[in-house]
Amino acid sequence: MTEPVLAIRDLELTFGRWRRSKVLHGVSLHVRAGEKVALVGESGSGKSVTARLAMGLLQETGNVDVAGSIRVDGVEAAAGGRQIRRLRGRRVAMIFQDPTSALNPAFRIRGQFREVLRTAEPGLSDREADARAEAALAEVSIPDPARALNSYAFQLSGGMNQRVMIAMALANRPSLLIADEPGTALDVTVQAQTLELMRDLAATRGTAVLLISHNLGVVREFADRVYVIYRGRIVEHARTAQLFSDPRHPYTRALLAAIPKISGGGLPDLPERSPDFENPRIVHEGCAEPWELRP
Amino acid sequence: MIWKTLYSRLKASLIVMIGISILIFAVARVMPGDPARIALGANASAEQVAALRADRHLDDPLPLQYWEFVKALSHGDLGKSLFTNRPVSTDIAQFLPATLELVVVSGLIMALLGLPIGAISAHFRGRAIDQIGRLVALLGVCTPAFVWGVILQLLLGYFWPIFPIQGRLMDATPVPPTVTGFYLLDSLIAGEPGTFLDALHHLILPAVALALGGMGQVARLTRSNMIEVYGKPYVEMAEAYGFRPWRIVSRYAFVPAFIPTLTILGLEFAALLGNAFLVEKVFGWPGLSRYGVDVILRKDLDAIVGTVLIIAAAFLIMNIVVDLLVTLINPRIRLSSRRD
Ligand SMILES: Nc1ncnc2c1ncn2[C@@H]1O[C@H](COP(=O)(O)OP(=O)(O)OP(=O)(O)O)[C@@H](O)[C@H]1O
Ligand SMILES: [Mg+2]
Repeated sequence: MTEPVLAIRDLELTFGRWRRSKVLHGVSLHVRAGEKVALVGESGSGKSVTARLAMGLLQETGNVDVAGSIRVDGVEAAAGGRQIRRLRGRRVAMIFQDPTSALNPAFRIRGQFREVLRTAEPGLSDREADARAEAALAEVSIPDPARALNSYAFQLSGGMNQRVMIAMALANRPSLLIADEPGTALDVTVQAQTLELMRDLAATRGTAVLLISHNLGVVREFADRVYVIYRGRIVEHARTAQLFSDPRHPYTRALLAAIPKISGGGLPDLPERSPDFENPRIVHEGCAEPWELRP
Repeated sequence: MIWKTLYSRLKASLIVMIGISILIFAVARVMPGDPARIALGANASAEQVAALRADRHLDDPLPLQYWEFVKALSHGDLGKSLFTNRPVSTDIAQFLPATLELVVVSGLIMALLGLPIGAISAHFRGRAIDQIGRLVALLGVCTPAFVWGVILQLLLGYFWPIFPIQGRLMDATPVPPTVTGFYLLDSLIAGEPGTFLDALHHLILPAVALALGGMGQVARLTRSNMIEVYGKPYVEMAEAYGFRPWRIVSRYAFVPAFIPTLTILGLEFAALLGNAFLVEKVFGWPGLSRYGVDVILRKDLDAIVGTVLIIAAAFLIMNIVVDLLVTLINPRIRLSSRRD
């Protein structure tokens, strides 16, 4: 098999120089081309920091200590640096939770879109860039792309901005798309549309998708495989069907047991934290990390 | 809507001008000392003093004097200087351009140094470059302009004499024919690059001395506004989408941070007018601020009122320009206003 598009191995993360707090304690996961993988966990479990490390963003703040390895599209990214920076916007892209605040309020969509396209092709002319931007916006079913390009984010609806952001993320045909709770700031229909778009993408272009979520309902519907993360550790890794029919880790079990009590599919709050939530990782059959297979 | 903003600002400014004129008119006359006696000197006879007082209506009641002043002002007459015996408007026309030239160049220096220093500090926040930037800004803020003037004169005019320290031109350089009163412009209009360079050479030290305080303030504000912007999701988005760091500092983080900075930039610019007089004093700069101080010391009534009104008007115009720029540059305001 080919190398996964994203392979995170024994990732550890510590914040702070003097008052250190360790946030990730050895996270491993991988996503292959065309796969849709979900990372679920409660708030503060380390989902977003994992994503930001994979993008090489957190490393640039200079306040973190990273151990382990992250390979993105064949590039080692754990230490950050130029190589991963050059992949951003071209080979890896990210969509954010609240698209309206993720678009710059001082510039029209047009200018931001040109900038995105020029990260891949610096010499692109304005006219060519605009033509491509319109095509990209049409692809995500924006009714009047020219008008959207002329707008500021605050003039468009949340759903529109979400599409704009997805169009930007996809404009340079990335091989990996990371979606950190996409659209949870928006209404349910927009969330559903977003997932639909990403599903298409994985199917038609073979893009690897890592979906971060704390909504088990969404995960069940969307993902091929699921990693459950608890306090900076992966506690269970399974195919989606396996996980929901046969949860094996005490934490996952407690989560699934709690689900019927709540509405909306958000991650239930577990009032009781049992010590066996910290049990070692459980990996279902056929779900070993690629490097664990080799003798 | 731009026009609506302009109209309401002009209205407010007019009210402010009326208030200021009454205030300065009264204060100038209530100050102790007989202006006629000061103007004529200790040797003048009591009759001469009385005659001058009568000639200038100084013995009339204050409200009447003010009324006469307003009437004259309505045909652009600011009265006559007791000292030079020339119309105040002539004096002002002579001295104002020198001050404006100093202030405009100083304002440019302030913005062109302050904004990048703040932006670069914010980009390298917490690192050595930031520390240096903050130190420079702090030094600028906490040292008065005239102290800078003296320091610059000592360093660059005396110990290492590469700049002239007095006046607007060398004695040997002919004054360019007056078009704008700005020597930099007039010399170019007259096609005399030598005069231009000489004027620039004279202008640099006083303009820098005047600029440093506001420069520090602008740098500090730009830095803190940009650090706030760096915490926004749209900057992380710009990084995640591979925008080059340089483009982020100079554009995608800078512009949103510049919108709130602009208001303060305008105030600092206007404040340069007020700070100019000590700098003009230190550099023997023949400007309006120095003229203003001289006329106050001489209790030259009409000249005091005229100078203060002109400076106040410059202040208010500056504020209006800033308000309009803020309206133009901030898409939220610009677009929300287009609808109504
Ligand atoms: N810049 C930072 N400095 C210090 N600690 C941080 C920083 N960013 C995140 N953390 C800590 O790292 C842990 C993981 O944060 P992270 O944002 O990854 O959580 P999450 O799983 O994405 O949660 P949520 O579902 O609420 O988004 C949290 O305990 C958080 O307090
Ligand atoms: Mg998060």
